[in-house]
Amino acid sequence: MAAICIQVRAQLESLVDGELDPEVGARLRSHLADCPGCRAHHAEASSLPTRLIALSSPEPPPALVDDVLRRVRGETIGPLRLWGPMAVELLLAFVALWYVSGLDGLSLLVQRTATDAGALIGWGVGQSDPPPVAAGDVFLVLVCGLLMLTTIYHLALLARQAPRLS
Amino acid sequence: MLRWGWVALLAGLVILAVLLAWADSTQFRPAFPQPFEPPRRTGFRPPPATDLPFVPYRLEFRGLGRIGLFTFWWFLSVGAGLIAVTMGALAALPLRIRRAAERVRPVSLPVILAAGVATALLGLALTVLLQSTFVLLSLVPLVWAVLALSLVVGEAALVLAFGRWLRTLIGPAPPLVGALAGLLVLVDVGLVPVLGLLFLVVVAVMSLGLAVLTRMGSHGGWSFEELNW
Repeated sequence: MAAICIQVRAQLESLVDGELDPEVGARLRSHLADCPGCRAHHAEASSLPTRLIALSSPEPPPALVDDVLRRVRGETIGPLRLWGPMAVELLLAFVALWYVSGLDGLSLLVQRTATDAGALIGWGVGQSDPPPVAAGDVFLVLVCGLLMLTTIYHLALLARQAPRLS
Repeated sequence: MLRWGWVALLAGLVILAVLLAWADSTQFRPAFPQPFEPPRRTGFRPPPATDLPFVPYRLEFRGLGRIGLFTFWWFLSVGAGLIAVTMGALAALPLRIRRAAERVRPVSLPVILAAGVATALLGLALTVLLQSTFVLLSLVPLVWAVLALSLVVGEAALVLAFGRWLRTLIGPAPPLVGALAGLLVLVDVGLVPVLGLLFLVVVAVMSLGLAVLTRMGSHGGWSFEELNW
């Protein structure tokens, strides 16, 4: 291989990217017109950027703009916002736990729920009698309703503030 | 080809699990609650064994010892079940679990824990409310099934992330091997009396939180922009 070919091939990438002086570029192109070997290298070098340009851009995630803006603004979850609603949740949970007589009462409640649900499903498929309707407890329903609202609000806050997947 | 470090780690963790299960069922047995006595069956008599005429000798399998709560095989079977279910989830939902695992970073652990506590309390409150309405009682199994699925997905994501961290320490290995090592660590620590139970509760709560925060590892999290096209 001639020395001029070595020099030309070393500058082919810059030629394809348009980074050379016009004079140097013209000199390289005149060499390419006469040298089939360097022309083949030039075709190979120029085909990759062309292919990359032809590729479609990947679709950005839906929340990309919001996430970038949030990070640029430096928004993070403060301890008060992170754990504040949890204090209310735990307070409500302790009240409910106290009301149902502690962990044993809670365990009984869950067991009864499972039994009733099983009986209801069995009644649906004609295998058992329907379970008796349990007497509602207004205070417990009220506390659990508040607990549910608080936890949903807390989860919405955490899901919105926490960094999303890229 | 696995490095010797991985082989040694996995073997060591399995041996440690067996030793801990043995210690829990013997030395540390008083640290666990006393199970109820199983009901005695009186009406059933197994049929007498008959000799097989064409087999000159046979190998008998007499089971793996006493069956009951907090026995040696109970500890090991619970650990094996945990590993089997989690590996099954990793095989069934690899992309979702990987997306969820990408969210696990030291800085995000408090957020995941907070979300887990909120989710657990939400599950309890929802159960009580559905039970009180009676009409919606049949939805309770559905809520519990979703919670159980979230638990498995989140736990699989946690051990996958832990296994990835192990791979940076020990060396390259298939992701499932890293996750298996993470699961064995989980089982081993879980077999430590008292503290292990607390550790498992924290991991379970964090698993719930991770699954909820990532909406089971979905692409856009809780953004509903995907519905808009």
